[in-house]
Amino acid sequence: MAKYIAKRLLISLITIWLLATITFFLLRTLPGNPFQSEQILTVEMEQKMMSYYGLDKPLMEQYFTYISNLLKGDMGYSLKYTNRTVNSIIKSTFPISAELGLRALALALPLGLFLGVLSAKKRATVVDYTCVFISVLGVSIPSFILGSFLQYIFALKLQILPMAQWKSTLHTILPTVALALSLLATLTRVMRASTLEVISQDYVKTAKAKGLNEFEITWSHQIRNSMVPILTMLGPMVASVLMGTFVVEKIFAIPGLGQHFVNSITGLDYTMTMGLVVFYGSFMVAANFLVDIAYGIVDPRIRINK
Amino acid sequence: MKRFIALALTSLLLFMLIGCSSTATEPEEPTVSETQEAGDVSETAQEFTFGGRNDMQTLDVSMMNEEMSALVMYAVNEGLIRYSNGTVVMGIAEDYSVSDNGKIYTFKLRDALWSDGQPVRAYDFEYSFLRTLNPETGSSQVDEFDSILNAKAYYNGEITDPREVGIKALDDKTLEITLERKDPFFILHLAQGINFYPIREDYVEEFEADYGAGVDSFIGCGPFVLTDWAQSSSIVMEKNENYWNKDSVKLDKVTQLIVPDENTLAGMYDLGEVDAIYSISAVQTALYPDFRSKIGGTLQYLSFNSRSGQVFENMNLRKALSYAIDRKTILGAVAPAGSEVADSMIDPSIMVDGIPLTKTYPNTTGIPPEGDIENAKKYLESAISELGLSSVSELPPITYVAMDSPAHRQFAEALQARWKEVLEVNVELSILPVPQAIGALLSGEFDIFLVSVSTGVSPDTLLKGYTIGNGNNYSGWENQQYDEFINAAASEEELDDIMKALQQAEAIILDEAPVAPLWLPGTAYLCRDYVKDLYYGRQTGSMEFIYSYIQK
Amino acid sequence: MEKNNIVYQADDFLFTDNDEDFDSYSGKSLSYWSDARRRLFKNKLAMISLFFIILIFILSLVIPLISPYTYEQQNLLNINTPPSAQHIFGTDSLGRDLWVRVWYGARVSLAVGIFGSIIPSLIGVVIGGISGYFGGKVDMIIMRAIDIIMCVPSMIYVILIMLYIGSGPIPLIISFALTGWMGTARNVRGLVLQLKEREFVLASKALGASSSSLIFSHLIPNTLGIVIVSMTMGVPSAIFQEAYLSFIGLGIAPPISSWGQLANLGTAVFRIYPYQLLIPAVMISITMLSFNLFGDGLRDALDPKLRN
Repeated sequence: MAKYIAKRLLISLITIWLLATITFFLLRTLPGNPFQSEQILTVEMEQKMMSYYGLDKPLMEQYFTYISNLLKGDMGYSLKYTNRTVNSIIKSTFPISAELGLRALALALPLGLFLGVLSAKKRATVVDYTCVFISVLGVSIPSFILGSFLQYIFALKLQILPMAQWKSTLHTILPTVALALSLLATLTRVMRASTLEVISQDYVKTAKAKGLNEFEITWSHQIRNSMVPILTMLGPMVASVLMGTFVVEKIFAIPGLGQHFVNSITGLDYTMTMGLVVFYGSFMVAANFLVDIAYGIVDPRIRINK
Repeated sequence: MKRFIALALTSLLLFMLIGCSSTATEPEEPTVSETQEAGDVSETAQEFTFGGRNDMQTLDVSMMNEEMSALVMYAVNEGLIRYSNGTVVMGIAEDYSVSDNGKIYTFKLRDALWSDGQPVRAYDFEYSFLRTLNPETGSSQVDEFDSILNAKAYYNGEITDPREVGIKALDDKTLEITLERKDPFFILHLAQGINFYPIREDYVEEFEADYGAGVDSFIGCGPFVLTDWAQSSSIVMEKNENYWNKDSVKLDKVTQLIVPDENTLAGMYDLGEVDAIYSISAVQTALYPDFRSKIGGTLQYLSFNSRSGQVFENMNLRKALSYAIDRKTILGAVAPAGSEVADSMIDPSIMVDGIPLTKTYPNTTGIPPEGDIENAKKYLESAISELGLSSVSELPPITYVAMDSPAHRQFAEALQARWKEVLEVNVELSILPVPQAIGALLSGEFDIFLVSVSTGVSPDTLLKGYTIGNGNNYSGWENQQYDEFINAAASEEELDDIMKALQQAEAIILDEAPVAPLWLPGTAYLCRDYVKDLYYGRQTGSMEFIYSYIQK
Repeated sequence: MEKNNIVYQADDFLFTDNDEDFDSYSGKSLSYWSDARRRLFKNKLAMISLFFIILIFILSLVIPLISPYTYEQQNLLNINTPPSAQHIFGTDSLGRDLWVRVWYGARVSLAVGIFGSIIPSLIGVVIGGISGYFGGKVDMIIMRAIDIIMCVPSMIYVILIMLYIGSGPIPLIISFALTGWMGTARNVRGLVLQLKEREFVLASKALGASSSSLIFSHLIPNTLGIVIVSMTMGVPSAIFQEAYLSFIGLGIAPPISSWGQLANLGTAVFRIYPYQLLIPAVMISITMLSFNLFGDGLRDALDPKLRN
């Protein structure tokens, strides 16, 4: 096991290096100039700015500078938020996005799994249809509509919750719900489907035949075995939810990381985009690593390191 | 809490009622009972909160290049002179004098203090201006310094000694600025430019590259002190007790909440969480009949790619498209009320002695606001035959490149439909993120582009860009005679001579139509009536609340 | 690895004869297919959903043809009017008839939604199946490649595709295909890892079944339930992804409409003109509900284990 983990760590590092390299060069193939905003700069001024930031040097040279700085943990200055380092932006915005993400997951995960199992066990009953209906709504109402709707009802009409901003626990409720609902919907659907898959397996039938009670069967056989798709999904889901969600952050005016993912690319803020990709990538790799280990725990028959 | 909400609600309702009965777009008229007001002012909390959709990007005076930084800087720092409610007023400078040849400006500084109590010196200005111009600073904001002696040369690296630049602190209280040549608009440049604030050298040395990145690494000498900047969330400014004119500052605290979503922001306005909204889109004004709007400072025009080999090299085709546009109806449908149709390349809000220059030196495209379909069709016919085609359908594909903002997109869609309906000309829209769209504009990979520019301070801002080979000549249009008039205007020193030359140049560009002026878009904003003396400057990014007060 | 060049065929997916279950049904003469069809037809909810889907398809084809307005025709003097007899769904901010725009948009959205979800799912199933079945180095390489592709912001690919291929439904589907398969691949791989240690797979292996037949006739069919669910859930996300990309200028160029775009524009004005948001949102929700319920029905009908 220790050898497996060491090997995975090494591979993870290589993965992140490849990710940084690919993103670096892909980003540079995008046309356009990072210093252009709605106030148009002339071509000469563009060139001046490019050379000031060292962006006119040969691409390979820039790449090596970037990678060597990255190894020292320095991701450089944002091109758009002049005077602010990418490190400092991530440091100040990530905790907020992560908190929101964790809150949403804490709400959606148990509820989603519960509803999924319930719906599968009560298949083709009113309970099942209600769960399906809720989860379909959750998937098909995007968060920009849901968020606005929640705001309209709870903040504007009932005035029991704040409209936006990230100041107190009260402020976290609406964005958490808005984010959690789509997660919940996805989790419910997948859990339902995979529980259905498991219900009819032989060992469940065997367990029934052996006279185990319903509760035991549900817990020790069905849920455990239907966790694989959920686990698979959970890795990237956790990573991306912690990184922040553009739409929810925008609607609720939350100063998180999610906005930067979008704005830095459309604004061609190279250093910012690179920093975010490397940061996100490290998370994703770690999450998937944990998922692979968890596979073995949930279902000992799965052997990944063979 | 509940009582507060109830209170806020009732007052909100009251103000909505009052708001409905007053004429909305006019600025608040001064009330008669001046003394009465003073009594009220002391009783209400002097706190003003407004919402804006974007955060400022930096507090580094030399690097600032967008309106939100400019807006905050206006409150927390002060230049030599200020542009306030449409007029130039004295700032840190007490007075200034101009030499007989109009080239040397001498500013006398008053006894002003930085917010930490240190005196503001003339050197702080010299240091700031030279820092902006220093090519090693990496600022892109040097156009406003154009007329200062050797400023551009220093920036471009043609001279390396900053002492040759015409900016000098003669002593602690005297700053001398020498111009390249007489410039009737220099004082206006100085007042309206966003990079003419002083900088404390010790702050730059201490924080180096991080100067201006946060509250601690910045110091100003304006009416307010920046006390908190939670990035992408809120900015808090409090009254500066060390400000030389602190008695005129009535607000104790100003907060900007950064709320990117417009619906959210409008909701917060309804709930009373913000007293004003920096700007709202045209469509939102339907909900707020008491919205205010300001115009001036921005012109939107179409640039036709007139380079040789392009389809719009054909002048008649350019004119056909320009004549076909129903500017009035499109503007009415898409832009906020208060926007105006434009028919020239000089902003009518540029005034001298209160009279618009466009009135004294008129020029027009001759296109009525509703468009002129008859002439448009005539021009199109000539264009078709000049291009050797037999019908409109044979025109090569025309690409309209637009930036991805909702307003630009709507303009593009409305224009596209209009040209198809009236002329049967098919135009393809290519909507791109800002850097790619501008990349297409600068490299000439477009046929039509809607350019939205700040009209600046002087009347030649837009016109001087259209000379041959100029970096701002987006249309790639070439006219020798036009260049001669522009050069003549640049070498003249008296306003009348400058304007006469410009007028002739403008007549040429309007006639040949490499650009089609469209409109001067207004900015709609919301402000509760209890906020008094809140003004919008002519330039974008100057919501002026420094002398505002709350009267509930 | 040498079996990689298999051309994947649709019935590879659908034909699931699990030997282990087969004997219990051997008494029945119904074939798998007619049995599946019978079960599907018996599922009322699935049939109602199918009816709605077909109805929406037909309306999206017919309405734009018979309406007096076109989807691009503007009337700037008649903007943002609420639903009326002339304009059943009212008009938008440029005075275009929303009734026509909704049904015209249905064509674009359904095409983008369905293909933008099916194609990446298919790619994902194949790659995930291969990765899970072979395990070891192959699995490691594929999974790390997925890690990388997932982390490179999809917007970069999308911008590149749009700039080099152009904008429109097909480049959009291509970019979804390139950026959307990883989730399914990971899902299928996870399940295959679990399934391949099962008795029936080990048995077939012992009997000398080839890798491809194992992957395609035993492993993948058993993951279909999950895949169909994620595919039906992928439809709305593709529709909204399109809307989102159109909004930042990378989707379908105006004046063509799509549901996502209509919803997006509606959101901007929902406090002023709620119908502009409600109409497309309700349309999307009804369609998605139909797709999901039908997907569930299909899943159940195709699942041999649930026969009883």
